[in-house]
Amino acid sequence: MVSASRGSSAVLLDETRFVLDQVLGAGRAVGAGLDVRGGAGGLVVSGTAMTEAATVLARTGGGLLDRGAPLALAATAGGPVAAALDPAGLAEAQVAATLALARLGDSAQECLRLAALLRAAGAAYASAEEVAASAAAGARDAVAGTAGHAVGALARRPEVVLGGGAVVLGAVTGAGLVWLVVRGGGLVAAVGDGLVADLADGRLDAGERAGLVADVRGLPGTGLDLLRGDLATVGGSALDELSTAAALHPEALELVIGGLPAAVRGAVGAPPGALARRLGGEAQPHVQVGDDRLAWPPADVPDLAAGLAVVLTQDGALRPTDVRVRREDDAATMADLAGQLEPATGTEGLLALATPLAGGGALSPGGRATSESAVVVQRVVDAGGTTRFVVVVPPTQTTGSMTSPETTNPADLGSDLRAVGHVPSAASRSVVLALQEAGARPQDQVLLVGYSQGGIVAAQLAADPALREVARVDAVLTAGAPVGGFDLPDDVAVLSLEHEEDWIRATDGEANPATPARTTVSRDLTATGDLDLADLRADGMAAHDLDLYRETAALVDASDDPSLVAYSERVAPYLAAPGTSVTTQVYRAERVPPR
Amino acid sequence: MPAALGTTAVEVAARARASAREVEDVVALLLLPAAGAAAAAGVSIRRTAAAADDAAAEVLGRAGGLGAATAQAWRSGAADAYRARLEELVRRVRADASAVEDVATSLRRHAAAVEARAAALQAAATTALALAGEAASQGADARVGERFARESAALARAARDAVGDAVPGGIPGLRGLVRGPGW
Repeated sequence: MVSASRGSSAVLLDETRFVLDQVLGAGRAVGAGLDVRGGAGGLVVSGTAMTEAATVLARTGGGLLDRGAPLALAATAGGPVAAALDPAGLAEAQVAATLALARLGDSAQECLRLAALLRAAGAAYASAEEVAASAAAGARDAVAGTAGHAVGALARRPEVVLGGGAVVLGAVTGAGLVWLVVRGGGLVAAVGDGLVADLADGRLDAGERAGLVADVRGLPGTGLDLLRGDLATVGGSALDELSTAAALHPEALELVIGGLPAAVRGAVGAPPGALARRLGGEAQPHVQVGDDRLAWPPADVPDLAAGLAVVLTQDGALRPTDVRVRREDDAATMADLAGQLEPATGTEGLLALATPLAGGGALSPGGRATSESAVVVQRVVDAGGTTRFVVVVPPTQTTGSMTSPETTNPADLGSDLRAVGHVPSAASRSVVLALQEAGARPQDQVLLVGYSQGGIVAAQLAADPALREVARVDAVLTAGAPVGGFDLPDDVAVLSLEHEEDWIRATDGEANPATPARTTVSRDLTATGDLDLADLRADGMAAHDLDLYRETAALVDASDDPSLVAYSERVAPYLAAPGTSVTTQVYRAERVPPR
Repeated sequence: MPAALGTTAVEVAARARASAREVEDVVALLLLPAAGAAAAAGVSIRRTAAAADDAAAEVLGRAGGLGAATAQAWRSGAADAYRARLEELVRRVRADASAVEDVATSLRRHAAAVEARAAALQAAATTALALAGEAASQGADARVGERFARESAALARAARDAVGDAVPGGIPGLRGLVRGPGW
């Protein structure tokens, strides 16, 4: 029974999240409403360091025992003649040797004990992390997979879908959020199965393709119809309710999105991705379409996003276009911007550079799809002549229809989807071109700054080894960006600012990893009084506001938390300082041709 | 027991020569081997003391080497507790090195004592051989024989004392060897 599994699964989720927090450590409160995870001052479990230390201890313990050999000889040194000639002296030496031997034995045992403890602790950490993470993901996927399976079964009986969907929804969640899992998973599964089979077999002829495109294009409409129907059934009113609910329960949203792949897998009758891998099943079906990939059924959120991008590009709706970048040479424009693009003196100043790019800013197109995006590049040359670059990546600049053929702005929703899917987008290409236009060389270090989509693209570029042919990403600053799914190199320092109530940051379905290189600052805006429930009910996106993120960044600058201090020191060479020259340039980017 | 009065010079000389031979036997069979064995024991003990010195230096080095076990990359409450324990261990191992040095010091003191006994035995042997040689060469002179008879008793006591000093517990068989006319 779905209703029965719902109760136990919810409890299991709560428990596993609790265990995860206990074992891996929740963030540490550092004052001013900030909560910090990871970074140089965070809990760090280094299996290598622990193993090396254990080896040193074991070697030392063995060495101490070996050193006992000459002491044992002291008992018989000089033989019976010496024993007869100086029995008192021999007795004294024997006592000293016995005491020293006992001490060495104790110390050797302590060495071996500590070595064993270290090894056990390392194994326990690894095991706990794996087990807890696996349990949390497993519980999430179990819920989602069950829901997806139910929808898959219902989908094969169309007569009960409309009426039964709401029942399934209510039974599984009691809240509207898991609707995404139930409905979205089923819908995508139905289309995706056929698409992969066709693509893989090369059987996608023009007629089939047209039919598929019709299905794909019908997805949003079908989904919205279902959503309206379901919300009406359960007493909801509109999509705004979903946004507000997400703002009030961002963790639930993270779980739901994280569970989407499992829901899709459940709907098509496949085991969850993790289970399939553990069972050593067949290799994941995988189709490469140009730069894109399509893994079906999806194993994780990036697979799902990348798959959606492929699905939606079949008729060119999200076709990855070329990008043209030009330097903004209009003196008046640059003069107007000068005051807003001052060299930064701290994290807040770096994030302030994104303000002209965000909604209402001088470099924002006001949501128009037919427009250019802008990338801000600062060339920083220090007193020693070393050149570095600060690159400010724009947030989503147009939320027009993803299928609009007039879209020219690369920073659109399509780029959001592709970035979350870890596949190149017009937005990411525009940043690379801007860097090349700015004269960056492979050895030049770069700090990528991004708010919202800008943060996703920044993380995506930092994770892309191909960018090393253009420049070397040294640090990343993101705000309000879902970047937990990116596998970033350990030598890139990353600071991610997240507001608890900002559900955008949860849309990748994964929490940010806490590593020495990755620091995440969370701020609970309702706890600090910066927002209240009425604000969130009025605007589900209120916590995503860039000005609020700049306030959070200012708190970061003022904090003495070791992780935040370490990050500030890392990015200091990119900031204004005596003897340092900073040149700011804006690059305009547009799709060529339009979508 | 001293030689009896009225004994002829020839008899005295014969007894003196016999005593001299016995003294030479004691020296050759007992004092010199004992002195040699004691000297060898001293060398052996000093060698063991040197090995203990080396061991102390290595233990001290091991204490320093534990600095590589701090696992600095591991940071947590448990890591702090581990490092506190490791610091205590380093202190202990340094103290262990001192304890091993104490063993070396004790062994050197033991070696010095054994070497002193060896020197005493060597000195006793030298004295005994000198007196015995004198007795053997002048044994025909009754006065000398008388003197040797007296002095051989003193020599015997000196030899016994020398061995007694060198070997407080006595050397098995010494009493059996040191006996004979006048002893």
